[in-house]
Amino acid sequence: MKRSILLAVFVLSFINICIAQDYGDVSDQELQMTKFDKDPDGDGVILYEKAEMRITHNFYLEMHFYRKYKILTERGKKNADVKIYFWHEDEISSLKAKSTSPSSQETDLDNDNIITTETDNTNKITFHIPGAEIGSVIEYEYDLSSQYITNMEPWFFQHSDYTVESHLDILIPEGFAYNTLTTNFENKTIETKNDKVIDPEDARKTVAEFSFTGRDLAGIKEEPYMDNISDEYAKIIFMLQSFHNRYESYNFAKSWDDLSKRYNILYRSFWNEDTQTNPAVSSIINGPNDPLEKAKKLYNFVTTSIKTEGFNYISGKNFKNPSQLLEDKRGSSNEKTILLINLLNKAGLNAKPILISTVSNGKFNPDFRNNSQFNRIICFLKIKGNGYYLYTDLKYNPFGNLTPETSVEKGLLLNGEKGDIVNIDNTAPFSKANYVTTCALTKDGKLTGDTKITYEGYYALFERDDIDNQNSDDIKNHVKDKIVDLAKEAVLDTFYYSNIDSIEKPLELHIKYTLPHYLTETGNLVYFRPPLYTNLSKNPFIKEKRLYSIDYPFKGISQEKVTIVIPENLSITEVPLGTGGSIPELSFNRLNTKTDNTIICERSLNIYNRKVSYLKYDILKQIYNKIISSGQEQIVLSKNNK
Amino acid sequence: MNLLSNTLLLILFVLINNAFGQSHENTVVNMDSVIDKADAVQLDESSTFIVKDNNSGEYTYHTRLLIKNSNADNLCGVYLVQTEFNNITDINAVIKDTLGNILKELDDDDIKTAQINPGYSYYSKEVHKYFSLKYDRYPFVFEYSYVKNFNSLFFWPAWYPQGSLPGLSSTYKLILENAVNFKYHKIGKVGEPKITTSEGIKTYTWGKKNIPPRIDEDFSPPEDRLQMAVLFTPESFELKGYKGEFKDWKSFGDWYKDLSAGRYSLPINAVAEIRALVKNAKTTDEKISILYKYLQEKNHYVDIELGISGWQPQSAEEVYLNRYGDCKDLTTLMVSMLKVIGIKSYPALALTRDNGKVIKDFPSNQFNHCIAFVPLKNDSLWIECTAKYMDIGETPASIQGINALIVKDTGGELVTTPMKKSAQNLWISKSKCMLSNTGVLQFNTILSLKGNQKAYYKPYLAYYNNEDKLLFLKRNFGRHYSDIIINKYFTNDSESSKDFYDIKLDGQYENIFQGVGKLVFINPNLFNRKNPDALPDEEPEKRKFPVYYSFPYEDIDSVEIVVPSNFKVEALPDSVNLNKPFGNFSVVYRFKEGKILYNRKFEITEREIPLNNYKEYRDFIQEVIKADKSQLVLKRY
Repeated sequence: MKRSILLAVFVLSFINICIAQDYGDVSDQELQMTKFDKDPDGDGVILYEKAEMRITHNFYLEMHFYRKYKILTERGKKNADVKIYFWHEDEISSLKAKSTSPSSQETDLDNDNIITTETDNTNKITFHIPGAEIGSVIEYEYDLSSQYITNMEPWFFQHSDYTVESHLDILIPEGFAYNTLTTNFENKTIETKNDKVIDPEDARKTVAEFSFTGRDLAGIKEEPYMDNISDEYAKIIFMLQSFHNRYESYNFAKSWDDLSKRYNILYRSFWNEDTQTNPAVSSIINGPNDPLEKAKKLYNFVTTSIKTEGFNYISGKNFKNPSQLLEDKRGSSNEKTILLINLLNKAGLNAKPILISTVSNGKFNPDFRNNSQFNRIICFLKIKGNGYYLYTDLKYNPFGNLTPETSVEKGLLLNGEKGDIVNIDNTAPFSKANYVTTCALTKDGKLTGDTKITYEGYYALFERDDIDNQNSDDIKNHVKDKIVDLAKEAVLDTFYYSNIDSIEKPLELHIKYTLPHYLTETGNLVYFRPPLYTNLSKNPFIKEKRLYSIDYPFKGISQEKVTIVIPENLSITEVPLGTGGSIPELSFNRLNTKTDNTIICERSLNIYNRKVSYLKYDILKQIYNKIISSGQEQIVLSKNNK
Repeated sequence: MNLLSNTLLLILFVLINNAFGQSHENTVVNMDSVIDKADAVQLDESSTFIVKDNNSGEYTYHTRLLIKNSNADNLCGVYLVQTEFNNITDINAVIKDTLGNILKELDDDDIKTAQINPGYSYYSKEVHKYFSLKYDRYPFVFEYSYVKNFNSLFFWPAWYPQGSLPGLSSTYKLILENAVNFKYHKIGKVGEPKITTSEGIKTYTWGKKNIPPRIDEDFSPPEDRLQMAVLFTPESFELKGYKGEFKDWKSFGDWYKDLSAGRYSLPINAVAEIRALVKNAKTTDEKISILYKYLQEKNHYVDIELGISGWQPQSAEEVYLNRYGDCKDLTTLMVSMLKVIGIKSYPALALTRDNGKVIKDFPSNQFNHCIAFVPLKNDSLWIECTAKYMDIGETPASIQGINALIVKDTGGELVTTPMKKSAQNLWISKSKCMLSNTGVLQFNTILSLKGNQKAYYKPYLAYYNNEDKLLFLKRNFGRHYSDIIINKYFTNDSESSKDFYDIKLDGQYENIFQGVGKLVFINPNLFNRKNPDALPDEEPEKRKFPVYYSFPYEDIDSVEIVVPSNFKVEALPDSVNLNKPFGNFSVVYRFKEGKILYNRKFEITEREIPLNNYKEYRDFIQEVIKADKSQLVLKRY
């Protein structure tokens, strides 16, 4: 009893005892803690984490990093496996790590067990903190030195585990101009302090000190339908702007104009060096003078003749120039987009690159003037006052369409010497998948179906992409997968696609199938599940609570109608009632109707807004439960005893 | 769409053969349909291994692939694994047209090197050298070659003439520049080598033509996934100064003994700690059990390949201090701890069952795991030292029924580990349920698990935090009715028998009714149905290999559902009773005193179901799937 009271005291009092801030300072309270009351299900807790950064007089970035973590479960031991990634020209030194067991036994990391792996750009240090067990406090620290002083990574105050205290300290010598950018600081305890302290390199001088301290920050874990988890973390970005003194003057950045200038030089150099695109342009256009027609021809050439392949850099030594692309006939979507812009401009049109951050890459922050935010290039084309956004990744993406991944609100338009943050007014295409099936049940319990699926918008784009470049066996398997979802024993009788290459038209898929032994008998009754392609088998929303919005990839309508004709030897005894549910962002409906020998089953799931607030999670979960259970409903028939 | 017609292929092969001056008789005739369907064809492949001396060899590999369409583009990216015992040089690759004209050549700068550890491994010394060549006009021929220099014959390269592509020709040439004693083992129809001697140098040549792609069947035994190979082993070898022999299993065991010699000592404080741990234990079993628990609780499994390419264990002292290690490190610690209290035990090298079977009559490097063996008076114990939540005496299926090499003081001894029977791998569920008028089914379930069934559930539930535990239970018990709510759960070792692990669940399914009118359907098999995925795809006449289960097992489910008084049973599904040489299944439905009573038993008695029973097995599974889908009909009054 006494022991449990003591433990309770340790648990409850822990939140205010985080005073040990240096390597090796581990308090008894930290060692004795067995549960963390603010996150009772946590595998561990980040007790303290800090980075002390300093710009030196000779323009080096020096950082001291330290982390102290309490292991609370077996899974929490994973935190003893540490991997540190760093730029290959940077240096890491003074690496130390140790664990302290609940009985205060300390085990230090042996330098022989630190493994450094070098690759082309990024190096990696790997080690396992020795002696780590449940209850242990593990610590590690290291120094990093970099000649790239503007490469300060964003500092995340939050992680997947709870953070008791996270501290960032930056010392900036006189002469530097700087800027900070904070994200998700709302409703969180994050203190900011600015001060002047003695310059560690020259005691006669002072340097500016900026301190940011976050306390009691909940862990954030991945959930289904999240655009990007790091968008949710509290973080700070510290940006050096310039340096000026009596002798030197540097501008590190970072206006969008600076960036635009830099990229403009790079991309223009491609265009200037390029010798192949001029003849290519005329042979591709081959006739029309209408600017829109010309643009469409060039767009179709790039999307269909150049295969998308390779890592999507937006610049760098591996970035292929347009001539290389024309020769290789393959390149990344970014390289393809630069080729397209080149072709369009050479055809006398007005095309410019826009740098964006895709949905899954994280939200673009216009106040953080750094190119590291961007991962894709799209093309902005202006013809007769109309703007078109073009993205070359997918062969079947119609002219003027962005994909769901690239449908973002803002980007950086590289307008020659000027960089403009622009709103991307892209109207998402109307996206609909419509399934219409006529089925007949035979007397021996077989069900034959004849389906027409009509895909529009993004549904068409992705279906076309799925079958692109596949051989006939693979396409057959792709279609078969759809009917195997109806019944494992499903037999694909025939199928064909219409309008595969006519991308302005909806894509159609016609399927004829047979589901042998589809009926189940119990006594005089016979029953079966309506063969709906759009049934869901698993509810993605099974967590009790959700703290972040539900982000669907795109809005769209999915509709299905199945008409089932019943043979003479059976009669309809019961069809399930309809069900449904809706919120303004989404609606679900399921309806069954019957006539003498015909049953019509209809289902629709419409997403009107791709983002649903977490406050609607409970009701959304209920709707999904209805979606799942309606998919399991049975139609009941009786044997006619004639 | 991108398929070449047979006629075109025929022309193509004539062109290729002309271009390369080779002949592949009967190729088109015999491989016609396979080649027609394939996205790529391996035109030829040659491996040459020149054994320089007892300790080194040079392996040269060359191949040509006909790439027919873009589906096969990925074959033009090649990953080669370099370890501390082999060095890769002379990588060359070209793309040629079908007449043999070079279209593209690999630049040395395009050969990348990276240390990429496989996901399961935290760190290994493997380096991947990789390159790719792409071309967009099909068909074309992708040709590449490389040289691997081995500094130990321990890793003697095998011949694998068969892959996922149809192949026209494959050869393996073994050249013994110096007389080195070796053995080889054939898998599948690979024929005998042609042996020639010239100027005292002996050459063995194996060759194979018209090689169909590897057969990949559902639920086939792991060892049958390799259908054609010649494996080699030297009679003696050396690895970083440690000399060993593969003359027999005894001598290989001796080598591992030397490699781990002097690594079984523990510091004084560890000795004191271990002795203190067992001081009150009365029996040997109890002592072993205490030390096993200690090993599990205090140490962390990390697959980290330090030492000699993952073969030499860290010393017990290091593992004791660091509290982490891989299988052989943790085994070394366990053996050392047992030594401290006077219990003799040994490390044993193993090949986990999911990777095949050790070929008994071919002593060679066939192992990927290490476990501990404790000989006892009445029985012996096998200990899986990487398992976190097993009790002593329990072993995972991966090391059951395998041939393990016990490394005794007198050398190696190959022994077959025990295999659990179906009755030892039990799932017993008992559910008492109450059905409401609206289709809500409240349930109270006790699931008792034993053996390998316990070994599946317990580690997850012990490892997860409460939130993830709940999600895991919802996923597993909401498979058939997804709107499950779990109000309470309790997981622990069974109070009645330590062999069992109990999961107690108190919850409800929000809507169990299928149909909403007067007639409603209920499937009382709440959470243990065989679904169509359990049925192997191959029709009986096409099946080539037996059916493999990770372990035999038995499931017993009983469900009792109290039905509201305004419901009457309209129809009950038929009971089923199947007894087969490889398994049994029975299901009984009853309605008595307002209760639905459902009893189901499913048993697989053998790990491997022979090919000649395949049709019967497939019919059996089909019957089980059908029965598990059955529903009873209730009528509402």
